[in-house]
Amino acid sequence: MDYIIHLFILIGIFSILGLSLNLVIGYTGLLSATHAGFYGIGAYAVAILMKNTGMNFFIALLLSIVITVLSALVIGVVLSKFKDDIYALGSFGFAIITYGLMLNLQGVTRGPLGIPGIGRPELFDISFSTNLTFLILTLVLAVLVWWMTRYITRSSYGRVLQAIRENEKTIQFFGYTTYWYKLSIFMISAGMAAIAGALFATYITFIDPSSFTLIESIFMIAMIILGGLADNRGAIIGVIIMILLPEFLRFVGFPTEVAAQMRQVIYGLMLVVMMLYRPQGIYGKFKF
Amino acid sequence: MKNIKWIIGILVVIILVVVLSNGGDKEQSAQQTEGPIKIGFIGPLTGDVASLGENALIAAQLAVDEINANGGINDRTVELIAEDGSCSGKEASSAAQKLISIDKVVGIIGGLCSSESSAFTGILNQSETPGISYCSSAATLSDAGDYFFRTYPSDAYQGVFAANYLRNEKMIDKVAVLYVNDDWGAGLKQSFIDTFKNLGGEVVLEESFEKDERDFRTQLLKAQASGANLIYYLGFDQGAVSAIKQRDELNVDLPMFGADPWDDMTIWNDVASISEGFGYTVPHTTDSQSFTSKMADVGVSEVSVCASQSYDTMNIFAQVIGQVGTNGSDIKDALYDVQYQNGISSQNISFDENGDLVGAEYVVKTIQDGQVVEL
Amino acid sequence: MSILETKQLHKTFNGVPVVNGVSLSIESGKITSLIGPNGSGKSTTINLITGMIPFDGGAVVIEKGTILSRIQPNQIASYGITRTFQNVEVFEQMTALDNILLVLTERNVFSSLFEKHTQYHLDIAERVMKRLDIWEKRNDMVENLSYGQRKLLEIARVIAMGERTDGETKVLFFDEPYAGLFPEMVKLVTTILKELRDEGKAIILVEHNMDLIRELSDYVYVLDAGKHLKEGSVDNVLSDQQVIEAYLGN
Repeated sequence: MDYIIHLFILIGIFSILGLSLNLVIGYTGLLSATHAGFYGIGAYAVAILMKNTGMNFFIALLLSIVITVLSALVIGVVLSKFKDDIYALGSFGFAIITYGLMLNLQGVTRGPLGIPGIGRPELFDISFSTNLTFLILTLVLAVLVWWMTRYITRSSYGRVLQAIRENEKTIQFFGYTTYWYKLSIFMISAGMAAIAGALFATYITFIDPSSFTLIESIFMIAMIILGGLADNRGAIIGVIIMILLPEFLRFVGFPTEVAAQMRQVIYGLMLVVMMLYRPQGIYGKFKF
Repeated sequence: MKNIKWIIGILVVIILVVVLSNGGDKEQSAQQTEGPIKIGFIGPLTGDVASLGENALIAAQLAVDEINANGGINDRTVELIAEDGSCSGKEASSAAQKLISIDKVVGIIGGLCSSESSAFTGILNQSETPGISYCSSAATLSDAGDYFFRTYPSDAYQGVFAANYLRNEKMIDKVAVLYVNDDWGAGLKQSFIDTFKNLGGEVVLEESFEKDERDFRTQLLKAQASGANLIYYLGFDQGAVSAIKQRDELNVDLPMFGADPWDDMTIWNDVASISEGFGYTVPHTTDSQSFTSKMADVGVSEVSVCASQSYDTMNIFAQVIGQVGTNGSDIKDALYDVQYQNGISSQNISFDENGDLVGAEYVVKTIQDGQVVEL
Repeated sequence: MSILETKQLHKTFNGVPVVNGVSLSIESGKITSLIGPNGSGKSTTINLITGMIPFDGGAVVIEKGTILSRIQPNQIASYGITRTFQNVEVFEQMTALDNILLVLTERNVFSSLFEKHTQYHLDIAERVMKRLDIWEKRNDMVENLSYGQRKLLEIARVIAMGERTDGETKVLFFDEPYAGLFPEMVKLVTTILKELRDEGKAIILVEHNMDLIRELSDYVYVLDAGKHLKEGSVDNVLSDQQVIEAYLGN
């Protein structure tokens, strides 16, 4: 059963990532590949704060959100000037830069050695050291993020985001400075990714830069496209499929010699088939 | 209304998980007393270093087949269940969690990459399942808890050994260090530099490079200009071949010294003629001839690093389970006292209080007259 | 007293002057038409005034004598200016209602984050959309609406701009609002334009249909090859020999 709990924890963590990335890609139409970077910054911030200063997880979590949002501000100031393919390319660049910093700022991040032995969260007398309690913490935070994305997308602000996705040039004639909207949603989304990073770091209790590469961003993008852009249910369904499908394939019973390769091939094929069958994603309302 | 459904759905899931997990705990404490003894294997079976993982898996399976051919362990056969760790923490933690809670393995062989092992040592300790890594060398894994062991020496030892050898025996004063920027390269570099400086040596250049880098001209020229007596190169086969050839082209007049990835004949078949006097450290192995021929019988022509450790690891599990049965805590206790004789990777294998390999033995091999010679 | 003036507007594309010293004077409560043959710079002039394209020379003077030598698109709403587009620019993958609510709600990032549209906004949207006979389509995705309905939606959006609370919209640019409309829709738009004029708005109309120009215009500017050719009342301008030649010449 620990395995099932483990999978639910991963689903919870990646739901936070999917929901937050959906704000930027699905609602605002900005194809950002920097999300894994913010996920990583959040994870590293929490890990370093907890390890080096013995700070409580929840204080470290708040600080890591602040740090990640500030990083998003710095990146977003540049990135929000762009749109469409240039935006995507720029975000690729920043994903590579954040990964490079994690790898090379060895004094802070220990570089490729990673940070081992990160503690599990504690709150007063409650310890989230068992997987079950950790799952509950994860779900509470995931529901919180889900509620926030729902609030944002239903506000007037959320409507402006969609208009930016549809026609950024035109919305400006009606008095909107799109730059601030693009920058702010990028920061909000990054802050949420930091929550996922903090959970990941304290769950696995070990982080290294390899968990926060550009490929990881692309994995997240695949999740929300599969589930359907601009829909919170879609983001979560996409996450569930992308996490559970490869795990399910462990039980198919391929011969040992080829099991691992077959698993990757079938996983890839099933994703291709799903996109062929339903290109707008499962719940998708919006197409690029 | 739809959202209310979702909140209810999530609550249902929480409740379900609570109920199921309570039921599951009893299940887990049930001893595995009949049927095959299951051992898990974790390594990268896909991705960049899949060749190492596959090689190690074949070696472990070879050991399993031999054990079963000799009647198994206490009349029970051994079943090896392999899961792909992809050299990634996320994948490896899922793999370990699955092996432990679904397959109910008695122990885990793995992982290969330090990032794999580091991600599931917590799970091992929580579930009281012993795990023995056959390849993870990160120094930090020494603190990974009671249930984690390794038959591969910590990088700390190799760095210390290389520094001692170069400083005390070769009388090198100044060294330029080029290292691959991954957990292995950075970890080994650090233990080398710390020891080398303590011994009064000087590190005049410290340059990292990426795994797939093939152009070392800048670093080589920098090394020459730095006044070093020797280049300590920590990298893998293809990069090493490029670096050695480029050193020759540029007439950089400094010998090079490497580490265990250099124990690979594909390098020396190519560049031995221009590598006179070079050397490298490698963990001491015994009886490698018979193991190589056994591996050849199962279709492996080139035995890669860590395969012999993987083979030994399986046999250590078999020896310990034969003595104390399949209880995880008993196996763990027995592993701290184990004396495993006539191993392939090492003559005697035993673990210290950190679960690290005791008395990691290294040898230096050098290139003389175009041949690799063990000193 | 004019509510908006341009002084010697200049714009060059690749060395070719497209708008060459155009000076207009727009008054409230009047429909001012811009006419001229294709490529005479009518749409470009509108695009320069509304900030879609930066102008190279000249100035735009808005009410109270504020002289602007540079205009950003996101500023025009605050100057009380709004517009429609030659190639219908609506938000395709949103509902028609959302297209209208968009221009009614808060502009500021923070205020909009803490605002959700209320019955007040819905009432305005309903009134405006009913006026253009598209209220029935409010929950349809705009991409599923007909071309004519999308044009009407654009006009509804311009009217809604005048209904928002945080600033009065006084100058309305209509860039070929009739193109591709069915006759009954043409009638509807004509009625709307007249109503807006009677409400005291300044309306700038770009149109090719001379019957409509005759029916609606209070004042006409004729452009030819980016230059100011003639101005005056409809009857004077349309009987002018130069104007007739400019049209026949093409």
